[in-house]
Amino acid sequence: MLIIRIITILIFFSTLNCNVIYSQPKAPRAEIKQEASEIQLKKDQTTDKKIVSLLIILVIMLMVLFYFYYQNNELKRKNKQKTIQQKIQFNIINSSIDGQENERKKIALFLHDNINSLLSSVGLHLNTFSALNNIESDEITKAKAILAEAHDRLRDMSHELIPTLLVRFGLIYALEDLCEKNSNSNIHFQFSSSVPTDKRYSERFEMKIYFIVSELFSNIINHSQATEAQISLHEKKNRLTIILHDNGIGFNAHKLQEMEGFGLNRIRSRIKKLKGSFSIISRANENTGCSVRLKVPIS
Amino acid sequence: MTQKIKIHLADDHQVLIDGLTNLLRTVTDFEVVGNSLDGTTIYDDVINNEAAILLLDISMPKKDGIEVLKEFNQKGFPCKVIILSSYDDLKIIKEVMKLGAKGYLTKKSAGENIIQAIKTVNLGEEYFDDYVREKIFSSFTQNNPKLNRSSFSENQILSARELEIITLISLEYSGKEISEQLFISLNTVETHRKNIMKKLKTKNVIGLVKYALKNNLIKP
Repeated sequence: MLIIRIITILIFFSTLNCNVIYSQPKAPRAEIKQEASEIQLKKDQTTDKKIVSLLIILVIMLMVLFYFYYQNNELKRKNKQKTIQQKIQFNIINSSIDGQENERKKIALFLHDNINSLLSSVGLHLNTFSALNNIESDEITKAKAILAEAHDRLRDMSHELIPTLLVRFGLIYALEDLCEKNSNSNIHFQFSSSVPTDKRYSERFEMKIYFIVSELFSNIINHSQATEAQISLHEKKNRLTIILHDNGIGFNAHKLQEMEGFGLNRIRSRIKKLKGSFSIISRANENTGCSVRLKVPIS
Repeated sequence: MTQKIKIHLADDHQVLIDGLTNLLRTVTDFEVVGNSLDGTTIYDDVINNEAAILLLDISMPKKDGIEVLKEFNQKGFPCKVIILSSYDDLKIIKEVMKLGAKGYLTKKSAGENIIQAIKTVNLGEEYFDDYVREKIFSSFTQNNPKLNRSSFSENQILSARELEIITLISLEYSGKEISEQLFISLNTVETHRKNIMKKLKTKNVIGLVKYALKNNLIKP
């Protein structure tokens, strides 16, 4: 708009200039009038000069304006590109997480339901064999021991992939269980919730929150040197709020913004996808606090 | 001749049902009268074949074990239920015991314990395999500072279950509390108590507490 206005002003001035030039030959040739015309000419010349300088100034201004306009556009374009790139990166992270979660679930359920039953029936047949033949051989005892170990490893693996409690009894149960499982002589996880334990959310939501919390837990266990940690859950106005706190060594939350590891990036992008917010309050060499706030999507 | 114990099997894996059937056939007192691959028809099946014991898996398609137990709760239990599951989470165990199951076996220990489990439950007692039993006990007592965990080792006279009961009695839990927390009936608790007293040759509870203290089961 500004540009158009400037151009109209420019055209207006240039037509003025033309008029001046055209009016020159029309000047009267009488002597008396010559002086007057000379004065007139001088006057005209000064106005001419004024107009030219004005024009130059205008052109310069126009160029400057155009430069800024161009610069602005370029910046906008770059910003747009950046946000698109960010979005793409964000989508890549999220879809890889989604894929991982689906695969996890598939493998865990397969191990848990199918392989477990197969192993179990091997054990049954072994027992049948020794019962029928009345044999107590070392080989069979050994085979049974190996079977028992296979069972244990399978259980640990499938639990690590996805806790069966989460699928069957829901998020609150599973988080409570996670606290119990992670508590030992080094660290104690305290669980409190104002949400009833039998409350169920959508399966996707439960999985996402569970993995976010378990990642935060493993951060605490591996890096914080804490001896006490608390997690509390509240639900208000269709928003689930999770607050995690530990008494560990803490870290520099400002420094973290610049160079945070992939773990926190993953957590951040997961929370972003849930349209939630995430904040860390912590200072190095003091107690660290970490609070996560999330919105529950209505589904 | 005593009547055979009729057993119905419910699991979504045919291979496990075959294995179970084979093993149970080796016991002359047992008779496998039917099986189900999902939960939908179990109630009617059990009514029809008059099974006394139902071996029930939790994860089954269409209708899972917990749904079946809920149905039994509504319509009345046609038989005694032993859970045979690959789950070993305490919360799940507690849930199904609250819903009226009489025994809980993990698939890991099925081969070793299934025969004993069926016999025990058929006599009206509860049965858990060692792993489940220990899990229930330790969750009940985990916050009790008076419990001496390290001393829970081999004991020539008392069984593992009896050690648990004598410990809880010495920690001043009532019979009712013990029965509720360990998911066994009051009768079972009483039976255990009497057996322990007989084994230790004492006449009253004070003798039990003295034994528990002497053997470092509890801290004074």
